[in-house]
Amino acid sequence: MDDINQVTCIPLWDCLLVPLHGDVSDEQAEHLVTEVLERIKADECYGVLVDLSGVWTLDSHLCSVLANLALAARMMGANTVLSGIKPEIAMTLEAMGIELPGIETVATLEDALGKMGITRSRRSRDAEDDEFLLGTPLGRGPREDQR
Amino acid sequence: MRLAEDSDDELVVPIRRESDLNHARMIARETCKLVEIRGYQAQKIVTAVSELARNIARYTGGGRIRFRVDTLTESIIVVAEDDGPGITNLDEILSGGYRSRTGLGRGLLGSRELADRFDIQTAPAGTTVRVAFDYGGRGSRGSGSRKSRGGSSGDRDAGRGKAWTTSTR
Ligand SMILES: Nc1ncnc2c1ncn2[C@@H]1O[C@H](COP(=O)(O)OP(=O)(O)O)[C@@H](O)[C@H]1O
Ligand SMILES: [Mg+2]
Repeated sequence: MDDINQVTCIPLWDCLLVPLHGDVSDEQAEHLVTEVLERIKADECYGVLVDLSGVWTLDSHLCSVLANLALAARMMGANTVLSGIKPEIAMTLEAMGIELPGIETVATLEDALGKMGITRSRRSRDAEDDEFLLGTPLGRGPREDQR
Repeated sequence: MRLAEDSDDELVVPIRRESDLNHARMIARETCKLVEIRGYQAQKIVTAVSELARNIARYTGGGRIRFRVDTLTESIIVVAEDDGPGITNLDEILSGGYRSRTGLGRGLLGSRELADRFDIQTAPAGTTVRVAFDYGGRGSRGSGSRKSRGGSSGDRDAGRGKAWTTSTR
């Protein structure tokens, strides 16, 4: 397997984040499926987040690969969420009459994380008005003027 | 039997297997860049090329995709031709009643939806699919309907002089 066909799978607690980018080849798509299903089996992750923000083109084949992946993952007890489909890609699929049955599709990766129950429990570290953090063990500790 | 025989600069990408698809899509993107189209317009062309190239790789022993920019009609013309077995159930496929066992069954139909003009000739000696995408009329966004198929074809007949048809040889 060429390096170029590798798919990056990033473990994210009990989920798997798979960012796809560029011109996704058939080999990459194939690799994606085996890799993800193996990870589900090995890691017992229950969520697969496929982020398509960087993907240049989605044709009917890649759509069916993703749909089949979602189906297989579900049979293994994992949910799949697609995020980041570009507007022009969504419009193209719509025009072609292609649907992604059985796959949850959301706008952003944050939405996808939300679907998996992963949400932000604190605000930006630098936010001055981040009262929730002040004085709590989770915060950065006392501010300069309190030292 | 191409419409314009003045094939000055035509790009031909041979298609034998599915790994040739990346090359075909790349040439499609380069062609889009050449006439400065982006976004949805470019996406339509690259996706149609991907579908037609895949059909050649999957269902035939091989073929080629020809890319041409017709500056006269301001359109990108893509011709996908192969020496494969032909498509016996073309009418069924194009009417949307076909259920594919190998894919989603939206490749040909989808390409027809995406293209401004679509023509397919198929016979036991091979298949030729021709799609054209207009890139003219930029700057006048929203004006000028881009869909020329399905409904009235008066617009393209008047403007382009030639209307392609769907036919079985
Ligand atoms: N170039 C070709 N040569 C022979 N048969 C073809 C060709 N292109 C398409 N076909 C046939 O037409 C059917 C529909 O093609 P398409 O609309 O691309 O859907 P799909 O490839 O998903 O089945 C294919 O299943 C195949 O049987
Ligand atoms: Mg096809």
